[in-house]
Amino acid sequence: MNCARAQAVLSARMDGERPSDRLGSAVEAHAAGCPRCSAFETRARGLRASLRIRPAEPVPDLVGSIMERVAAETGAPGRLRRSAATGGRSGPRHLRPVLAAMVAGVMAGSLVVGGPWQLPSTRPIAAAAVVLAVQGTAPSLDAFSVTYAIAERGLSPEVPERRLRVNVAFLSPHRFRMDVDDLTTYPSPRWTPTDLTFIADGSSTYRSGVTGCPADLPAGGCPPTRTVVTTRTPYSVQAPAPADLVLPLTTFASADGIQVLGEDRIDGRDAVEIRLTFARARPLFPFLGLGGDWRPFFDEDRVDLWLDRTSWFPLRYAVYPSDDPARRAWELRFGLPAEPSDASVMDVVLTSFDTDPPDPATFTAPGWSGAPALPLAAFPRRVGYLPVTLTSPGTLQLSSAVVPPDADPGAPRSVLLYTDGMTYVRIGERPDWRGPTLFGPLDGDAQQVELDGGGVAYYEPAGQGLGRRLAIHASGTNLFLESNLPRQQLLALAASLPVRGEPPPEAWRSISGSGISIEQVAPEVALARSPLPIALPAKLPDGYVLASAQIVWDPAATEAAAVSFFFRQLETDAAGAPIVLHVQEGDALPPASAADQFLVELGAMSARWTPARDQLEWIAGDAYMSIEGQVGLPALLDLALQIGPAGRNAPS
Amino acid sequence: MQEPDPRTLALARQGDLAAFEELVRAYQAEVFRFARHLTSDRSAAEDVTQEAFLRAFRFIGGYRGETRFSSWLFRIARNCAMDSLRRQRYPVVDADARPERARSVADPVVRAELGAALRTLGDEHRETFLLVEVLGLSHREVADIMSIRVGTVKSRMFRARQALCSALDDEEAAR
Repeated sequence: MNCARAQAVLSARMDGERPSDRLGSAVEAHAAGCPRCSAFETRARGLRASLRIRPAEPVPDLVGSIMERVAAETGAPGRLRRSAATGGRSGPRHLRPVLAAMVAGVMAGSLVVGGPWQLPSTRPIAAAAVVLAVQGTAPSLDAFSVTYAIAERGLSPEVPERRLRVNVAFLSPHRFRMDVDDLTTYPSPRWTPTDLTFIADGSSTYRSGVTGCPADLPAGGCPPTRTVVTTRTPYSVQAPAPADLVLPLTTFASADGIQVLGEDRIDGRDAVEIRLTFARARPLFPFLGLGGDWRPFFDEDRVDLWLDRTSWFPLRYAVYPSDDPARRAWELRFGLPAEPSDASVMDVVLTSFDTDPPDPATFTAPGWSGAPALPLAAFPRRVGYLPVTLTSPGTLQLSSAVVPPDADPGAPRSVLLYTDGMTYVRIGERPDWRGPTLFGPLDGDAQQVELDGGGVAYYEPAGQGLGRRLAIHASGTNLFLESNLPRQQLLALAASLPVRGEPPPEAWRSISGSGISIEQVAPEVALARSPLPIALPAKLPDGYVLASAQIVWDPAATEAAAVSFFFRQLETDAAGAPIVLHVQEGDALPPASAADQFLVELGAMSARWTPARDQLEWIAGDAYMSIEGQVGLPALLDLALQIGPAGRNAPS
Repeated sequence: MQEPDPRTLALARQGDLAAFEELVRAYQAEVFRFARHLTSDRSAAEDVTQEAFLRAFRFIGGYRGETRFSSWLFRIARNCAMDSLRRQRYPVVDADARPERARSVADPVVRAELGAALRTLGDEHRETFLLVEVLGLSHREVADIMSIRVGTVKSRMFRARQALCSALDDEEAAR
């Protein structure tokens, strides 16, 4: 075996060509002792990595222009809907191609997910590519009707298994309807079936269904007879509940915490199999939050999900109990038996779908029309100002402009809804807002962001039933934007608004009470004010960034009493709850506050671990430090060890 | 690369525009990327992609399934790209002159070196190399697209890798 022969075989093998066993063994033996050949293989693989790992390059959508040219040759109209001849095949027809956005991701994914390079036919798709594909599909999805069959196990010893049906309809712009029909045969008429209806039209919502199980009652302890309650909300910033059953935009807001297992054929369709935790997949279970009886789920339960490879709607998914030991204590708390991790406790299976637009009357709530839409020109007379509009909306179109009822003092005076398929941006405005916090549904730990072209805004990732949010305080008005667009796109839209965001009044950035005041500040300000010099961790868990900080002031003192830093996900809190680092002067841990607390090693020191609060606490020199977040003890220890110099060097 | 649903293909061959549109949707990104690498020019790649699908529509009635559909389509795209290059007199790959040249996450120095090294390859070796390495096609698929034997693909790949490794080694030694 000479080098040229060996390298030729190594080259072919890299491309999936298999040499005979004998030749392969001979080449292996040669390469093992030949620096030239092993260097050739290393170099060739490096070349491959340089070419294949690349940022996703935008690929233009040429379907329209191609089909126009094709049609011009045939004399047919340009772009066609699916012809009757193809009607037997399934698939949504309002979808723009998403392969474009996926291609580069797939290439990268072959290395990220699949390890060694694989043959094209078995190449897995990366989580990032799924995220891109789902997001790329949203603007082109105009109408949909789907039905899912649900099998739920473990609600109660009297009702070990239930069967339900969920119908979801969507019609652009921004009309949703979800009906849950309980098909279960209950042991007695005392049981009230979980029949639910949810309708959203723009910002108005209608819900009707049986009341939920009182909090903290074990699954079998709920009274079986319930009251049917109907609520009508003329204005809501909540994202439409059933949206992820049509397209899992919220679930796939980011790739963090998503594991792509591979590809398969499900019910005759190409599907991508994905694994994620129940906490991460929660938006796929919108029916659980609308009332009625449902069994509980543990955050770490495993969800196996199959997404259609073309349209990205969920084909089926199942929840399996986590084998985390902490689940046993949770089962006891909910009165559940020990549930094996290989038996699903809920199966959701797509049984039908239709891409024909549903009848608009489907979205009419009984006796309810929501807030009436107005032309923009009517707003000055109605509310005293012309609402701020997007100057560069791209493909988004203004779908509705409404004046919400004034009942809620925190409600906007005007709400504009821009949509493109399932993609939406809502702009709420209130010029006369006087605080005491930023206007809009943001928490105090929102991230201050600089907008292109100047100005500041305050950003929060998606979570708690809301999309990504941005508050802008500007001269003469206050705005919030809420959207399911990716963060960067939302920031770009905000930058194009004809207002310049300013820092809010100082009073809005602090709250006082119990003898202290808490001020919202930029992280570098908090770092400079820290009671003890610290270095923030540079290596954060996947997807996390340093988002914001707070200083705790003791009004009697001039120095800060404590500082807190908030590390958050960029796109969605579902990919990981915020991590909070707290530093204050102190030489002893506070008294024990939970039954289960443990001492753990933290370098040369020891720290107190409280699992119930996901909190790690330790004393370093004259500093009390705590770090909490649902990322697991090893990740918290890793973060704690990076905090220096006090945290690393000082004795306990 | 996945093959289309045979029913879609059959309908497209009969002139069904909706079925053909489905094929365009499924393959436009791959064809564009292929054209993009051959022309090193985004605008030219768009033109090549459109022209390739137009030609594919004209000739799809004659496609008999002797090769994979994707290989057949890429062969058309390749011919369109070659025509485009001839018309516009582009060098096939000119990394320095084309600001949109493919980027990688690697060190920019390595990228520049790789671009320079690619330019040292002859057209046939470079095209073969890009089809395998960038589009991830198999030797069989590349052989179908380029109308050459699988053994030729194999030897071109080896020669291309040898030349590139050697060129990059020289660059490294010179630094």
